[in-house]
Amino acid sequence: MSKNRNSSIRIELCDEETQFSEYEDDFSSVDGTEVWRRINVFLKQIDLDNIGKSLEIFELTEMAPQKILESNGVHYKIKLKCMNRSESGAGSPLFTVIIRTTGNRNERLERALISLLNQDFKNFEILLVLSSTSEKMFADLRAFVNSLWFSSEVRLATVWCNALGRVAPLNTGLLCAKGDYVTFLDDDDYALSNWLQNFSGAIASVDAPTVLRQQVACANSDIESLEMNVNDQERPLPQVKDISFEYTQPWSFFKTLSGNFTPIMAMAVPRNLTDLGEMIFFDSNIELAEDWDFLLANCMRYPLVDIPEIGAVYNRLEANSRNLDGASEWEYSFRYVRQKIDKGNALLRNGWLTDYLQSQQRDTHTLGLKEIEDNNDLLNQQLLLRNQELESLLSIKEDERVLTEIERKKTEIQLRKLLRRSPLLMIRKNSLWRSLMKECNYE
Amino acid sequence: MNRKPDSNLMIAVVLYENEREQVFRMLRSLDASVSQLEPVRKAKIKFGDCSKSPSLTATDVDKIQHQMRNLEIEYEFWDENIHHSLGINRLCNKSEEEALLVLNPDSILSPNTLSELFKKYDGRNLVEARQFPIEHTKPFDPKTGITSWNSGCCLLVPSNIFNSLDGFDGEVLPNYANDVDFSWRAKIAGSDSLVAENAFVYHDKRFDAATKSVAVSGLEGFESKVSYLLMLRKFACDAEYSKTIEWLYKNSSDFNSIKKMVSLRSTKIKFIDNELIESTFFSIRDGVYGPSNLYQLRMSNRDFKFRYSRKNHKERILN
Repeated sequence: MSKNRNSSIRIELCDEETQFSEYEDDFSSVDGTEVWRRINVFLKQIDLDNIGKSLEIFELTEMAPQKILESNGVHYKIKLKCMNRSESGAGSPLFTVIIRTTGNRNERLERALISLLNQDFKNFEILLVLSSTSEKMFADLRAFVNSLWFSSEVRLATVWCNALGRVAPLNTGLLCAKGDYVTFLDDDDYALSNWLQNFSGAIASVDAPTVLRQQVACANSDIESLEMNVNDQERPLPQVKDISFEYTQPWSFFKTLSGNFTPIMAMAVPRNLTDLGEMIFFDSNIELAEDWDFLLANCMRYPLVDIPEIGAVYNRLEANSRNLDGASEWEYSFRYVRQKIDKGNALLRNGWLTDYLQSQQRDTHTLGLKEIEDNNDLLNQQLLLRNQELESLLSIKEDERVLTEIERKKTEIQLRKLLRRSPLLMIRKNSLWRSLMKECNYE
Repeated sequence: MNRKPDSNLMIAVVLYENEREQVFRMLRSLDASVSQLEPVRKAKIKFGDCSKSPSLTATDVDKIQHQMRNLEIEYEFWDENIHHSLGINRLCNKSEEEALLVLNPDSILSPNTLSELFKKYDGRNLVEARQFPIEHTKPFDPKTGITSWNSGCCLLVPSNIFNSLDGFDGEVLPNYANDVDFSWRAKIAGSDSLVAENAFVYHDKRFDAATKSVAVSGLEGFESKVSYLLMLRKFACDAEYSKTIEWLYKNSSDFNSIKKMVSLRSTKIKFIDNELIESTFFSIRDGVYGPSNLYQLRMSNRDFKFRYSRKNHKERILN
């Protein structure tokens, strides 16, 4: 990752006329992600009351590092525009839509943005994150965005991630996001008009931070219909051959352990509003399957609400799967995530998957996706039995006030036993369950 | 043949209970798209409002007109619902412009949509923009753009072709499948159906998660079945008509209402000559990837989902 050399960043918090606060830091030896992390920390420290205005949302409108040549080196200046909560849909949660782009297919990006214009749910901001090491590309992208006829109709900020790859811009977006929830849309995919409404509607039914998941249709393109000797920018979007619905299956945590059935635009995750250190980021060790790993990490921490509605279209190009480098990268990423699962985490003890397959007399060295899938039914049956056992315990304990201390202790002991035995426990809404998990350091 | 550079454009939009903001957004996108036309082209948009009460006030029209740089707006409240086909015909009647754009009010154009449509436009054929976020899965020839039928969501039509065909068939197909029918009649008359591969238009469509198909209202579902049967009758597909009637009798709870409506509208059908139909089907079959006509009907009608798969339909036509 390239470094900002001999530079500092000065951040001004202002509205059209007044500057409320200023922050300056030396970023000569930090990478782009660290820059945005520090900016985020600074924003959280601002005492809004002292500003004298009821400003609650800060919209990043000028995230382009504007170069200012000064005698002691190059400085970057970033302006932040303040916004009244009342202007932006008070009462409903704010969503941040992170769109990563490489800046070389603006017409597709434009259509992705247009698909956001007609959202039923209005309280959202768009963070367009350019992944590039070229300052000129960022200037070009900003010029392009500003020239769009609808640029003044949406809350849209362009952010520069001074690094290449698929994962870095997502993490930059997470750091810059202001929303209560964050969701993602790739620059060649489309949101349907009910996309954000599906997410926000599900929040109304929960009282705690929750991972939200909805369904996505898949538009499969006929790559053979294209002339392959033109560059990516000139090439028209290939014809849609058919629309498939493999990403409309109901949520299954266990099935997700065997593979990814939730494209990135199908999930929204709560953004930790209190402690930046607690935020879950995308794993930068992989370039593919990053959404799978991210979803697993989030639903280890938060409960998940599955929304039975289709809210987006994933444009799938067959050419991707034909690319040998991509196939090898995918294989590496897939194995990496699978190893993480097997190493254990909040709910799954270390080596549980290997142990289980050994107990089934499976050869773990040749463990493959198909074998996991083959065992899906058996494992799910076991899981079901465990859950029934757990449910029977929890069902009479919902109202903790009627529990005697002894009853509570007994239940906890039983739950602990279950927890040790069970590879996975699905019930997490119960307050007793939550407190026990916390006590057992599972959170 | 290239289009004449000095020709003008008229855009026809029929409103029915549309939200003002939706119409304004469509207009702003259209204005931006007109501004990218080279050479500069005069454009006028005509609204015909079939709603129960006016969707736009005079103040609204003035307000949005002031925001337009390249577009002249005409708005008329009709105080009756004459439906889409007759509405478009009324708006386009005696139009002096060379080209007509039939446009849906719930659409949003990309800035280059019109310029890309005109790249394909040759004054002889019909040209449509590709829709998103849910694109029709009908194939088109990547070189010529030829396809089996046109959608009327964003369709560029030479005025003389529109007038010679007497526009849409408002008597038999007031709202649905009128675009398929129009493009087939145009094909018979010698004007092909084209897709401009780089022209895109947003069309507000959603999926029904339960049926895994494009969501339709109860009325749309009913009208789709009626329209499908009427199309089969109009184009003399008698065997298919009988099969469909039989299937609907067994599977559709609103069969009697459908049959009644079909009988009512059938009296107004102007049947199409068999030879021409045959040649139309053959030109579709030989021209591109094969027929996928009526796919729109299938997509908008969950009950037909299982009966009219693309493959089966292709085989049916080829046999």
